[in-house]
Amino acid sequence: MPCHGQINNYKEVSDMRSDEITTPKLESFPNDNSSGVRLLAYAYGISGKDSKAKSGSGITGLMKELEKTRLSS
Amino acid sequence: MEFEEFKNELMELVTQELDNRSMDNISLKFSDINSPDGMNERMIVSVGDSKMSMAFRLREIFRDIEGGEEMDHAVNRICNTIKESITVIETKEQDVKAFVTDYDKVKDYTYLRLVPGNSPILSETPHRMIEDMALVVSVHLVNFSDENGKSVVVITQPLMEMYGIGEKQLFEDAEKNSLEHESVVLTPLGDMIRNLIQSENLPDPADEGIIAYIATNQSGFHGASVVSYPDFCEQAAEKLGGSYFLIPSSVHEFILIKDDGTPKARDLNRMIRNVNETVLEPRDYLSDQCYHYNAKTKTLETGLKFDKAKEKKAGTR
Repeated sequence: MPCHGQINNYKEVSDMRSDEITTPKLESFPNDNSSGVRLLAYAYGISGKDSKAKSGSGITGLMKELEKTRLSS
Repeated sequence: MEFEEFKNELMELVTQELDNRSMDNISLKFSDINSPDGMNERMIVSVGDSKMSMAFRLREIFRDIEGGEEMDHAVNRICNTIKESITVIETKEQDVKAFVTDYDKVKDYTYLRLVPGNSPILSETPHRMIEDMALVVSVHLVNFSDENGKSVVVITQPLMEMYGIGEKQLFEDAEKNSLEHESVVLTPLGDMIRNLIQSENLPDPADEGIIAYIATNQSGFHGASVVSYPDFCEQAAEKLGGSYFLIPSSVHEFILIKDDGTPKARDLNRMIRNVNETVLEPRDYLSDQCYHYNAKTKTLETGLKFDKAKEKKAGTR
């Protein structure tokens, strides 16, 4: 599952209200954008291996495999 | 616990914890703001008379609570972030505004960014459509980023007008910066996964005879925008050896799969929707459908449109 280890995932610094015209909204992004997890999901899907996941069929099995891989990475 | 109940309880607990920590002069409120990913509910934290505030994404916190995180744990982390950010807000506010509102300072740090085509920010943001996705210009605030992450601002219509420049110059400057500092990176999917994950028995489409590449930029941040670079499509076609499907893995990258006649857009779209719904962070969402580049006609279109035309052509033979 996506990593929420940093509270910065939730935080934006926004609303510089001193000028109604500009009001730029600052967004904060963690350096780790969890690309490994989603690319692995696609690799399984593209390879046609998502239905062969050991712990179950379809996306449930894929997610269990992904969780095991993420925990070990 | 329902979302509304969670919101109210969170507000109460954060208020109480801030009081326990003697953190005065802080006000909290709920607000909806426009966000590129459409996730709008926020808890806004304002500090004294400062014009800057923090916005916590309530849906993401709620999702973690539902996933098993203790409410007290989430509250503590929010209050820790508020405490850390107060100093930043109080001392950096003027610096940020001075930087963002001066185009001479900003213009070397603008870059191209791809967002969903139904993003609520588009109504007030200069943009160009690429199929059902939208290309906007953002500014990387290098002095307000650190080893943990990046801070960026989307350049809205009012900001652009304040700069005194037109849309053409805005996009030209951003493209120049993107090409110079964030050039295209094409990597076989199997190789990329082995770089990112240390594990045995990782899937590799190449083992199944499938040519698949990741297309992103140098930093891997908002790298899906490479699809808008001049000559990208032709460059990728040369790498893959012909026409290909483009899978919007996230706002950070595309996955390119060579079209050898086997992939079907509707199957790829089903896979995209599955991944989007199960592992993708909402803020990273780009699209629910694939696209196709025809190397002979040099045409980029949705995968479904390509498949329909192909089926129609096959049916008329």
